[in-house]
Amino acid sequence: MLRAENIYVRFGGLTAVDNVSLEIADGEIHAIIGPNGAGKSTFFNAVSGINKPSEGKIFFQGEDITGLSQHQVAEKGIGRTFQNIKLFSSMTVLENVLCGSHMNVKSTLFQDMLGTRFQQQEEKELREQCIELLKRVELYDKRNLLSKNLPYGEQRKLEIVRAMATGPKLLMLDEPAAGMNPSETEELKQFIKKINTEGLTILLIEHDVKMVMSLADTITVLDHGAKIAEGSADQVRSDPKVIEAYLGKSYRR
Amino acid sequence: MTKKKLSPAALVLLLAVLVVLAAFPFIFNSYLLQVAVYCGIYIMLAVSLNLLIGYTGIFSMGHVGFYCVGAYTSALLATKMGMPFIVCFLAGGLVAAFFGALVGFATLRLNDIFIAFATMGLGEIIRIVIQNATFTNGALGVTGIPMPEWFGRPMNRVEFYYMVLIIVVLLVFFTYRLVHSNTGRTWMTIRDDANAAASLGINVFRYKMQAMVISCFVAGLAGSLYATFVQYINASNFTISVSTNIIAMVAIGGMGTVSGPILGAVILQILPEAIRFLSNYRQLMFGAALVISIMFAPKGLVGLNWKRIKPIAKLCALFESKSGKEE
Repeated sequence: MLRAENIYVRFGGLTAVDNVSLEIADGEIHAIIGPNGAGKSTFFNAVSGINKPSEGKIFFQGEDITGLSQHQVAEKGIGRTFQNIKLFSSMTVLENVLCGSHMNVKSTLFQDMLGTRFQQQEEKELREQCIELLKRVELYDKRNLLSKNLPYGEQRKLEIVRAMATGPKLLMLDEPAAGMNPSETEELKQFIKKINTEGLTILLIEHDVKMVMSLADTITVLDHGAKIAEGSADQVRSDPKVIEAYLGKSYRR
Repeated sequence: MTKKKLSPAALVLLLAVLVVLAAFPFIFNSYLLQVAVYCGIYIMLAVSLNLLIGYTGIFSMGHVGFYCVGAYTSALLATKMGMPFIVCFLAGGLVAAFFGALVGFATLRLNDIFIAFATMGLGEIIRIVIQNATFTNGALGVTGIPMPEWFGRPMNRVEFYYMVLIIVVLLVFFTYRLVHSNTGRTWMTIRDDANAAASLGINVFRYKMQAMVISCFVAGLAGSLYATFVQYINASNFTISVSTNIIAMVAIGGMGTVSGPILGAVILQILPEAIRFLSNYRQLMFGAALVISIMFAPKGLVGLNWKRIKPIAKLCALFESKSGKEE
């Protein structure tokens, strides 16, 4: 589904992502882990168009998407969430999801201005779809709350739902479990599993190693910007390079 | 954006306001009529600036520049080329929108505070160019701008008032529709978080440009109405203090609401007339009003919790509809 070939991202003299290649298969949950500053988020941003890769190519479903801007990447079918939650705080839960379906809207500026029948009809249908989605993820009861008033775990969830409303084929989650307590993490894990079985391919950055090990089909480990290991949970867990990166040289068996 | 249907009581109130506005010229003298026309023009300016500041999060300090462009375009077309009012009026809006597009193209990639500085500078540049160019008559200004003609005679001031009233009502209606549709929602996503908006496939720059062009178009229309009504314009009508006044109207009334800027414009237009003996301190009072409103009512007058006052709460209960609160 997504193939990154020899990606470099440099900020001045610093090479934040150093020759990383990876391939995400259709329908899998692929996780990227690594210590702080390993270049995980930078890699994410390079894929989603926030900062362009200095070198290398990114293909999505066989199409070259290197260097596209953020909204173009989204149009191709890649949804994402952010490490620090970026909800539209002045809007309600339902409105946040409605914003996610922006790309499905066909009514033009003038139709919006005049409130034509087509526009009204479309708005109504959109609302129904979003309400459907909220019911499916059990946020329906809170649809009229301001998004900033949701509990932390549900804010994370809402951000995922908003990205799902764009109708993506690949969903990229940047540390979805950050700052969550164990029960919230468990709930989130089940939620991610559920949307994955419903057909979404997922790329995940996560610090919670336990969660990643039990969730991901494939794990890529980055350290200092470079890929040091890749494989299933068991392969990665026993890889000496990974142990060294996380625990230091003396723990190397 | 839960849809509220108007209750009978609210409808009656709305009708009553319209009736009073329609009967205005028969009740009040021509001086108050003039104040009312200025109110209308400032409502247009505040509502249009609110699209930028309140909805899209573009802090433009140069709104007066587009108002000025609209006024001069309209005035010059009418006096030098003898164009009919409707042409001058639309041209005022279109030329201002064109300038808005140019300024937007240059500044909208900047961050908040830099947009404020850049637009402030550009607004001043427009004024200075107009003050010194020959085709605008320099510092002398444009005189003898004719009133619009209809039925083969110039419009009188009462008719002009009705025209402004209709334009303002239409503008408010269209603005209401826009901000309660996908377009308005998209603007607000940009205000709340541009990165998140882009991640949802929203072309942030395009939508900012759109807001800018619409806003400047309306400011240009307001300029045209102003030039036609006062029949004489001069570059010194369009200083930076006009921009700050409009910002004060938006902020005091309530940013990001439909009714806020209307309320703000009316209050800040009428207040100085009501206390004319303090006119030397006008700017001081605008400043004080702005500071007080930011300190005690950051969401503007509209955003205050009026229901804390009991009689108002009772009144509100009367107006709130029982049906159709949520679909």
